Amino acid sequence: MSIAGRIAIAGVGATEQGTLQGRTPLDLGIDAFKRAIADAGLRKEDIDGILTMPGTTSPEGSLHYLRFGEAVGINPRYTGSMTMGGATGGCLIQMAAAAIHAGLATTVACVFGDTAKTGGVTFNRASGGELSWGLWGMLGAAANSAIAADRHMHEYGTTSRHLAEVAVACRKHAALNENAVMRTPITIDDHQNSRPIVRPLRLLDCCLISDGGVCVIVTSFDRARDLKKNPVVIAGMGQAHTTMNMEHERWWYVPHQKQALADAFRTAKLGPDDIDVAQLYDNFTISVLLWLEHAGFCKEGEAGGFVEGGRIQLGGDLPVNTAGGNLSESYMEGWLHIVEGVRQVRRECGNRQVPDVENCLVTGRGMSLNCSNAMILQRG
Amino acid sequence: MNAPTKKPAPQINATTQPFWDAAKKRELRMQKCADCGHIRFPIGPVCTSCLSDKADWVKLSGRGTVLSHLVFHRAYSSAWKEHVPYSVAMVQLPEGPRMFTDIVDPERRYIDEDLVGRTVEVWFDLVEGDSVVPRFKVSES
Repeated sequence: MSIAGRIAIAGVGATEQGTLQGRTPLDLGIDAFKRAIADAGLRKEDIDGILTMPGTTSPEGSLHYLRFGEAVGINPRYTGSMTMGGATGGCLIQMAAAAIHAGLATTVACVFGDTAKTGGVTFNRASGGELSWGLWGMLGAAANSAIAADRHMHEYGTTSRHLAEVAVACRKHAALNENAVMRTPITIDDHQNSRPIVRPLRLLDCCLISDGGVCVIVTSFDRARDLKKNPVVIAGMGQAHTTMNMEHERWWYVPHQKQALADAFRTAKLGPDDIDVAQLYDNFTISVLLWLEHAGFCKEGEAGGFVEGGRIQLGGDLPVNTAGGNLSESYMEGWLHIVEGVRQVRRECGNRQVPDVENCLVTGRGMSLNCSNAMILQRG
Repeated sequence: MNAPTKKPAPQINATTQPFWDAAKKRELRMQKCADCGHIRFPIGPVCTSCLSDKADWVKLSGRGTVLSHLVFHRAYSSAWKEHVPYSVAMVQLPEGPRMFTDIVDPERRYIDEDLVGRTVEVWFDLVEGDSVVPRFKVSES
């Protein structure tokens, strides 16, 4: 029996976002958990699975699940922690779905809390392991995406102004979101005049660094139907990863994303034309262009032209990152993309609601360019 | 021989030792699988193509072509602070492997240029702590 369409998201919770002095990753995760179970109309006794992503500032590291379970007083049938950067949220939800489908748990809370902003995290890690690229100055999250942008510009003629279209769209949407951190509208010229970080990327190509917490409750569709909110069905899902950075000729183009998206569309029996709104992981602006090509919204190399003229803004052909994304809402490493996807499908987004949403594509990517996933959320 | 550069020194272990020993002799060497011939980089205990653990450290030409050229306008570690702005290139070696390298450019002649497609050649840099790190500079010819 296929898993497609049998698992649903029953509740979501997000804390306030931004610079949250005095908060801890643990208390933010718990805050989000309480909001999510309330959203679903569940009690904590109904939760028999806990999957967590340790925050960048969580002292427990990979033992984070133990501390979280202890702190909320739950002895789960199914639990664990995983660290896959911005791909973690989507991958944990897929893990929860698989566990529920296999009968290992009935209702799983997927949780993240972080204080990267007040903790002074700069995402300055170098790839390369024992032969660290840091020896050659190749450090920080921006650098890998700068490679992707530089190659895309050379092969397809994409420009910095195309990247600016993504930043402008996300900021425009964040202005409509009271929980977003950066709400002052920006122009393409503002983007062009922002300081260079790692050429060809500028400051306004980069996501924020934020404090906050997010929780997503996953259960069976049959069970979700009896809960408080309209269930949001996981109609399709996929994930794919590359570990071979230097030996993978087009690693910079993240071709594995295309596989993750193809699996999501195949399992949902849908295609790009069926998508009403998309939440595409945007650690840097170039990321959105790659997703648009890999999902088949446009052809390879044509995303720069595709995003011109407000096409990915609310009111355009394909609204993207309707809450503001990592670039302007808050950097919850993609977890808020899932929350916004659920809310768009439930049609509860007020003045930023896309009309008549049936299907929302949500994607995640982490560990620079290595890990990726995709889900199609659908009205139940 | 240059005066020691203030850039990070490598953490050397048993697997990577031959790479750094070769650099001290002003040679760029990588592992070539003795069973299938695949030259791998980064350095690893087995062939990424056939899993053989037999390899020869073969000397490479030391030339390459720039696939991507970045310019760092901020430092992500204190060791690079005094070098900002600096160029980093992803380099395609003719023998197959690719590697990242900063571009040796003390007069910053290439910061505002686009080096994609240009030929670069290895340059051996003595760093503080008596290590030698292979980097690349733009070929003039």
